[in-house]
Amino acid sequence: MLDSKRKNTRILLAEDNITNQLVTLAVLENMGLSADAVNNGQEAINALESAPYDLVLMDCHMPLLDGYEATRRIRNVQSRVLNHQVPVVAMTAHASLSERERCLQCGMDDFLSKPVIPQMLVEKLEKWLSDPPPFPQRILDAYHLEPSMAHHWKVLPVWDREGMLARLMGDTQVAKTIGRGFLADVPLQIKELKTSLSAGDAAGVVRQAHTIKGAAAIIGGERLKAVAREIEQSAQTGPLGALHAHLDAMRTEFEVLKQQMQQVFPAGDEK
Amino acid sequence: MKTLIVEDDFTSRLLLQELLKSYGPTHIAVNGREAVEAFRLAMEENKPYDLICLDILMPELDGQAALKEIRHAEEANKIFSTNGAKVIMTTSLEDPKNVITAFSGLCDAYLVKPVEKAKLLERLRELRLIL
Repeated sequence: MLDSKRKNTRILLAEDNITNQLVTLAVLENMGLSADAVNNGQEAINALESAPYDLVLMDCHMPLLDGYEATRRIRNVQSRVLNHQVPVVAMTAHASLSERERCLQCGMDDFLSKPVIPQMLVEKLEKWLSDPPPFPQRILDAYHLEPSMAHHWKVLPVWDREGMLARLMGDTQVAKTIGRGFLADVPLQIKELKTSLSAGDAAGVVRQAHTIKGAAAIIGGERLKAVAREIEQSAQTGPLGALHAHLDAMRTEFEVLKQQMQQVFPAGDEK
Repeated sequence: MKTLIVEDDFTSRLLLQELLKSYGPTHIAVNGREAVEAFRLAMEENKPYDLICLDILMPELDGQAALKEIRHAEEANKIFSTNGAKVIMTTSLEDPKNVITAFSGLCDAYLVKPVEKAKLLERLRELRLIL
């Protein structure tokens, strides 16, 4: 997936701990990637002002300027950073929910817990360096979004698996049971939603969309949740006719989510 | 600990069942009406629920109304809420009106969805339902 792009990929590694720096660089080298390493947030900003990078691996705690503040400056369109939208993957020793929220709030896109596990690093690089999935035109149409909003949608993860696991205190067995149940049940809910929509039953549409939103929130299906929320809110005020495109968007988002989830929770006992 | 999970959404039910099953039996009701019936039945059999996880937005009878009926039924049997079932509202509604209504209806705790295991266990400990 990455091969053709690898040679030209520019990665910035901001990390003050020399051991972590070396480990991370070694994993990158194994993947045929290289990175510019800097020792603090200020150096990271300097580097990002002088060259456009494709990805930043950002330690949260560094001297002079920490990773949170550095990321805020990257996202600030007033700053002289060349690429304000560069994906920033936080590297943090505390992968707690509050830490994750803190990272998201300052504009980071993803997290890696430390010590960095090579396989996890590879996963994150694959995720953020591969070409983004084509942005579905019909979602743009449905929401009257400008193409420039595509980035906004892209940073909303299809599946925030880490978030789901964090809410379950890391219990993968429970995650699997709930994940499978979710995949089996949501198609029925979407069908009901369609029935309510076709019947012009606004209250039914609101209720069904609300149910799907809640289920998606448990799983961490952030995009599905966003579409469901949109439908729930629109059906409370506007005409239902406009929501058929949203329903298409919802089906698309569910399919994409299902694909990702099935890789982790294979439906073993199904035909 | 005997639990009644009142929730109309399948995935939400599954989540609570999975999180609570190691502490004792979990029963299911899919709306407020069923919840009140299940509650009465258990009380009449002298095997009342220790914990009720109660969603608010549900068909038939919503969680706020079900909470009132449950507390009424307890009082009619001379059980007052401090000795009655512990009720945790589990809902996506977090507006002040719903929160205040639930506590004035004598719920014991209020958890905003999606339910987090750590917070749920914390509430159960505070309510002395688990160690």
